[in-house]
Amino acid sequence: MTPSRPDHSTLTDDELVRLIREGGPDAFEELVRRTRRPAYRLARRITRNHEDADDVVQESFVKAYQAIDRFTLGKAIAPWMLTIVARTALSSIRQSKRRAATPLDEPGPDGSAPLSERIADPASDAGALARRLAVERAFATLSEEHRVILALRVEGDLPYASIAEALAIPIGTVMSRLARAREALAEAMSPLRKAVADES
Amino acid sequence: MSPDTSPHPSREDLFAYRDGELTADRRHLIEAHVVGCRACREAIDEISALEAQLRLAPDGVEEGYFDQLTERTMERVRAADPIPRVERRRSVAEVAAEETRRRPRFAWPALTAAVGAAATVIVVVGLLIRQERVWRSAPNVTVLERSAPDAARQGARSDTTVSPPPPLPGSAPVPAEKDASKEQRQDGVATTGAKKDAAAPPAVSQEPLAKSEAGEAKIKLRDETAPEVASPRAEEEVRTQAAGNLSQETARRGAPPIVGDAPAESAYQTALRRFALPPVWGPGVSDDLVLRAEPSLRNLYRTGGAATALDSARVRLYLAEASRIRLGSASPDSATTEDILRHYRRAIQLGASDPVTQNTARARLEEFELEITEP
Repeated sequence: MTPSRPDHSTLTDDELVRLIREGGPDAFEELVRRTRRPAYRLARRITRNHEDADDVVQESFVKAYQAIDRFTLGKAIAPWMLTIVARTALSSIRQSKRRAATPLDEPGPDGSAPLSERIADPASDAGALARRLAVERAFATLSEEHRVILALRVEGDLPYASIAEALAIPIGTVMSRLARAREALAEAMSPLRKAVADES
Repeated sequence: MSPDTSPHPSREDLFAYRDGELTADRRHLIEAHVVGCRACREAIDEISALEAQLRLAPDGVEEGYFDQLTERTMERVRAADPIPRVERRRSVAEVAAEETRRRPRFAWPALTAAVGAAATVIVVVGLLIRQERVWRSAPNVTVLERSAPDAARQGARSDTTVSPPPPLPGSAPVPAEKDASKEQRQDGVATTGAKKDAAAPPAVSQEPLAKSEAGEAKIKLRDETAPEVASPRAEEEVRTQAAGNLSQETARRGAPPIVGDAPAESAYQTALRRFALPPVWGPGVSDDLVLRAEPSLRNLYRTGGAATALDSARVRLYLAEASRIRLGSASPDSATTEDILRHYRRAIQLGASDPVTQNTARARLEEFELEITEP
């Protein structure tokens, strides 16, 4: 009979990190569980495909485990983790120039359902789905620079300081780039907004 | 509330205010404007609504995906750190303690080398002084012109050897050159100078070195402070020996020799060369070799050691093949299947610059898909 895994879910970030430093990978699994979803979503937004995002997340966790001694106790672990994810994702998209966006209405490279279906929530009405698709379309038209910084803010909910660290840019640049990205998103939505209104 | 007539804040400030990133002073300032400015409030609301839509997007993955992701991730985490952290810490502490214990023992060879070198220098200096006396008696010859090249030759040769003392003037320097050429084969970096010395006539190739050594010889003659001169020499010998050990270690591990302008070999190429494997897996490649190379290749994959997209593609192709070899005729479980499929798919994507890699991966993926779908 295999021993049951200890429950680390109630530990604070600091307690968890101390346990990882002392004990090893078992406690680290809890950290993976806590941050895997935002990590994946962030990686997915940056790499724009599932395969790469999947790879990026795994690589990022391996890096985080190896660098856990450098984590500053007293800070939240999620922004630290997501900064690693962002950097790994950026490195991944720079390594390969292939990275075309998966079109919204075409099947994924592995034959999976098109993105429009994957982001369709059966519980939501047609109008809500149309609005969400419109925003996704607008987001997909943004430059890489704008998509990345918006993804860090939206999916990671990262403070400006963490975004600055992830992108290796000053905080002032984070402020201006994020503002431009948001304006670009709003601008890209303008023509789509009318179409959504017509559809619904 | 009366509309605010002050100029609108910049978008940077407005959004930073919305994100709670402003200092208290600045926040109060912007807030005072936003409260009375409908346009700014609408701008904030619009961005908030758009970002909320992005956050609402479902994950777009199958049910159970995150648990599978965790499993695969933890496999990689454990594999990347085969020694549990506690043991590693203990062993680091042990190594440090051992180093401290060893230090006195290591001091003896160093001391012996230093004393040996000092004695050698004393002998050399003594001989040179004797020569100097002879030369002083000869007409039209200065001390420096005669003594420096000889001393330089000794010095140059002793630099290319590891442990033997510098040959006395007039003795044959064959063993030293033999050692130098041997070391040169092992590590081009550590012995670039030695290579030049061995390849070119000494009189020409050693000229820059001879000049500096000449200076050194001159100092020796004038100061006659053998122990002080011998000490750096001893240190140099210890350093040379350490470099020799390092070069042997590098050679043993199969690191690429860096000689002249030859292009540096990638980690992937080095790994393949060690196991005599071709750059791209093919049907003729021995299963045994693939399995032997697998740990090295897997390590490259885990650590991101495959520097280019193409190397990464080829590593993945080999890893997929290794998994299939290990699988034999058994049916793969879902994790192994997914692993193999993922490697092939990524090899196809990353190998776009090389048709051989891409086509091989594509063909093997198709075969594998057929295998797993057939009853």
